[in-house]
Parts: sequence; C-alpha cells; structure tokens
Amino acid sequence: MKSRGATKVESMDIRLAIFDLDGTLIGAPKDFHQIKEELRKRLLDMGIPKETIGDLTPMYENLFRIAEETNRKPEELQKILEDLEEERVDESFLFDGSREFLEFLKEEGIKIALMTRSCRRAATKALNMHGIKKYFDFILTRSDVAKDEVKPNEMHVKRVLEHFKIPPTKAIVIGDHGYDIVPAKRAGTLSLLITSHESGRMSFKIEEKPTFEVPTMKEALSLFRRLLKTYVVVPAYNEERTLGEVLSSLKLYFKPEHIVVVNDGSVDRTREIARKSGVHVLTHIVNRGLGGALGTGIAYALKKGAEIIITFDADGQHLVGDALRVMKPVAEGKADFAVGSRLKGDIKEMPFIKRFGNLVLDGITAFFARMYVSDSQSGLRCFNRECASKIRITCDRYAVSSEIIIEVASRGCRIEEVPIKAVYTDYAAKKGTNVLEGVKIALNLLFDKMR
Amino acid sequence: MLAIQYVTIIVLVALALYVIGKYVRKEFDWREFLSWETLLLIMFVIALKPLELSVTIKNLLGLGRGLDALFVVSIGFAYLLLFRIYMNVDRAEREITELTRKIAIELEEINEKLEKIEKKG
Repeated sequence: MKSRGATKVESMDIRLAIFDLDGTLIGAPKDFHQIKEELRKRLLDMGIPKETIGDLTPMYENLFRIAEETNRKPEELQKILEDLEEERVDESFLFDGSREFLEFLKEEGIKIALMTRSCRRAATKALNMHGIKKYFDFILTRSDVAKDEVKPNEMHVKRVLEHFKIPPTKAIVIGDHGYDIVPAKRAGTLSLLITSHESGRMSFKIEEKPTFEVPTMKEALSLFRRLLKTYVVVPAYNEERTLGEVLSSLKLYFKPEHIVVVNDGSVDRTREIARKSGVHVLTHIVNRGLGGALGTGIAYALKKGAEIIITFDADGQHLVGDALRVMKPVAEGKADFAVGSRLKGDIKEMPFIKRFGNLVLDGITAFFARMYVSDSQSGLRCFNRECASKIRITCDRYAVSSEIIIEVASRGCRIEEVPIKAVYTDYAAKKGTNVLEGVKIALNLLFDKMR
Repeated sequence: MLAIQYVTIIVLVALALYVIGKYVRKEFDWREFLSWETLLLIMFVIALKPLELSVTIKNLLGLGRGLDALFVVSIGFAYLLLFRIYMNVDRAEREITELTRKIAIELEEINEKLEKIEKKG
C-alpha cells in the first residue's frame, strides 16, 4: 500500500537503514590506532616535520591541513591513507550476524545504504570480499562527499536521505561510534549503536545518546524483529481537540497500521479524526473508562502479533520522543515493562495538586505492588509481548494505572522507569486524575483484593 | 397480632407469589428461586413471632432490648445484601466491558476485511 511496494508491514516506520562499515559490519585485527601510527611513520619518511603532523586525529581531515601547510597536493597524502586502508581490508572479517541482519532488512523491504569514512576503494573492496555488496542500494563513502561533509558532519546522512527522498524520522543510522550517532541526531534520524564490536573502532567516546543500543549485530537483528512489530495504543475519550496532532506526531515514527486508537464512547469527533488519519480505530459503543479502553487496545495489539506495545495518552501531554525513550529498554530486551516517569524528569510544569495526588497514589500502589514506582499514574508505558499477555486488567476506570503496576510487579516482569517530560496544557491539566478520582482509585484497589 | 404484622405478612405473601411467577416464567433459575423463597420464609417467621424471636436473639447475643437485637441483626443482614449487590454490579460492569471490547475488536476486523475487498475490487 506504500510506495515501497513491500507486502510485509512493519510498525516502527523504518524505511531506510544507513550502515557504518568498520566496527559495525566488519572488523579487522589491525585497529585504527595502528593505521594512524603507520601513517605518521610514512609522513615522517616523506620529510614532514613532527610538529606539522600533530596527533592526526582525525586522520582524513588532518591530511588536508598538512597538505596545505607543506604545499603538497592533498591527493598525494590521501593516497597513503587509502593504501593503508586497503591493506587493512585484506585481514578484515564479517561480524557474526551481519549477513543475517542485512538479509532480514532486504526481506522486509527496507532500503539499505552504506555511509562510511573509509575511501571508496577500501569500502568497495571490503563489500566485495565479504559478498555483501548486493544488499546495498546506495553507497556513500568519504570519497563521494565534499571534505567538510564527511561524518560526523550531518550532511553525510542528509545526502543519503536526499538520495532516497525519505524523511529523517523514517531512517535509522546503525554504527559503532559517536561519529555515526552525532550526525544521525543532527539530521533527525533514529540511531542504533553497536557497543561491543571492539575491532575496528577508532576511539570509544560517545556523548550523544543513541535511540537504541545493543552489544552485537546478532542482538541488532532481534531488536529489529521487535521494533518492526511495535504497536501504539491510544485510549481516547472526547479528545477531538488534541487527537489529530497527537496522531500526526506518532506517525512520524510509527506506521498508521500499527497505531490503535480506542475511541471510548466519545460523543465528539474523536472517531472521525482517528479514521481520517488512517489508523486503526476500535470504538466502544458505551464509555468504559481508561482501564476498559487500555484493555481493548492491548488485547487487539496482542491479537495482531505485537511484540512491543506502547500506551500513549491522547490529550497531548506526551512527546513522541519520550515514547521512543520509554520503548528503549523493552526493545533492547533489558526490561519487560517500562513506564515514563514524569517525576524523574522535568516536573516544573506539573501543577502542585497533581504532584501531591500522584504521591499519595504512588504510596497506595507501592503498598499493593510491594515495590515503589515514582510515577505510577503515568500514561506512557511500554510492554513486551510476554508481559502484556500475563497481566490481567480488571479496573475499568483510572485505577487501571495502579493496577497495571501492581500486576506487572506481581507477575515478576522486569520494570524500568524512564524520565520523561509532561506537557501540561490547560486542557490536559483539566483531565486525568484529580483528588476525587484518587480516593476512588484507592477504594477500587481495596475492593479488588476481595474479588 | 399487631397491625404491622398483618401488613408485613401481606407484603411477604405478595412477594412470594411474585417470585414464583418469575420462576414459572423462567426469569429466575431454581437457585435464585430457592434463595429468595428461603429469605421470604425467614422474614415470614419473623413477622409471625417478632417478640418471641427478638427475645431469643437477645438472649443469644446478650443485647439490651429484644427489638434492638432484631435491628442489629437485620442491619448486618442488609450490609451483607449490599455487598452482594456490589459484587453483582461489579460483575455486570466487567461483562459489559468484555462485551464492548469484543464488539469493538470484531467491528474493526470486519472493517479491515471490507477495506481489503474494496481495494481488490
């Protein structure tokens, strides 16, 4: 149904994977430190003074500087580096799982690009040598872009995006280094960091946080299998004012086919707005409350084969970037359930009465769950399939937030809290739980024990 | 016999007939029929011999006056009933949610199928 023409649907709307080469797909016994020393030696042999050579980090850019300072042709010095890189490829090896991962992406109809700081010669040689060139729809080495557009400059990523005419939020950069993550962030794409491929890494210092991180290519494959089966459940009761905007922001990263709006007996235009956005709409004929709506959305997502289920409020108080962050530990397999905590993040905007009410409810929840979660009433949560199938939702109304925490804790799911920012518009502040709701939640939880 | 006893007995008999009628019309199953009739029977006995019974309960529980004892017991009984009603309402609510959920999911699935057919056509 999309222009890609692929028959399989994935839920995180990833249409393009941009790979780094060295340290991500392939490794080599000789690391870049050794290459640098070799290069230094050859430059010294040419009679270039030590002071002019400097520490050579980063190598490629420094060669241009040295050429200028010594009145040499840059190509002359580049050739030395290119030769060294090409020699290094001879000993290179493909990381376990690289081929399977590329194969999987191809099958899913995802475009694949290579973005590397290697020269074209070395990169092409490596791809041919390991028989993976056929997987790539586009290759952009440092030789193919202007000197100042090589990553970590974001233009390197942007050039790839331009080639495919794919918006940045639908692309993911996969690399092992800050040089991959920094341009990805600046260009606005998703990013995946491979953390334990030791060979081939230049220097390991990363300040930018990637969207996802996994130790090796093998785990990257299982991460993708989960990502591509992510569903977002949006319970909505009379949310015509905010729903349209919320859905457009979700659609930046998620496929409309995998967004499920549960229209909980709304009497306004909620249903029409959701339908127009092309998402799934489940309509409750009568209003059943937040718990009823969440239960419906989760049941539907499970039925559709969801591996990850995110719940997201329709009143506009959550940011889609936070949804990705809450999803991170679950997608990476480090947690079974994650909840976005407004109290761990920025709470400046949270009205006092809400903060107080939350504290009381957190206490009550902690009592029943025998575990303290700093924001038990948060509407931004993420389950993996196993955890979502285990829990039993019985509370129809707002008590469901506490009930979910209690259920998840008692079923032995691994819980993680992720700091998020709550956006309190006047509109959102009027909705949600208030003090009276709080009392009702407490009573409901008590009765629940007696059922 | 006091006037209130006559009134109570008439009301109880009417209720008993009403329950039988419901059972005959199959609106009550035999379990509901039996429990309601037993309850009415107990109330009937109380209505016939209120004083004697209240004295017996008073002696059993050691409460002050006979009639007070009867009140205490009936208030307790009323609470039990209230709880039962709460449980029933709760069950009904859950069933409504379950029903609403089923309808919502199935309607959407039908919708999807229709869309597929439309696309093919």
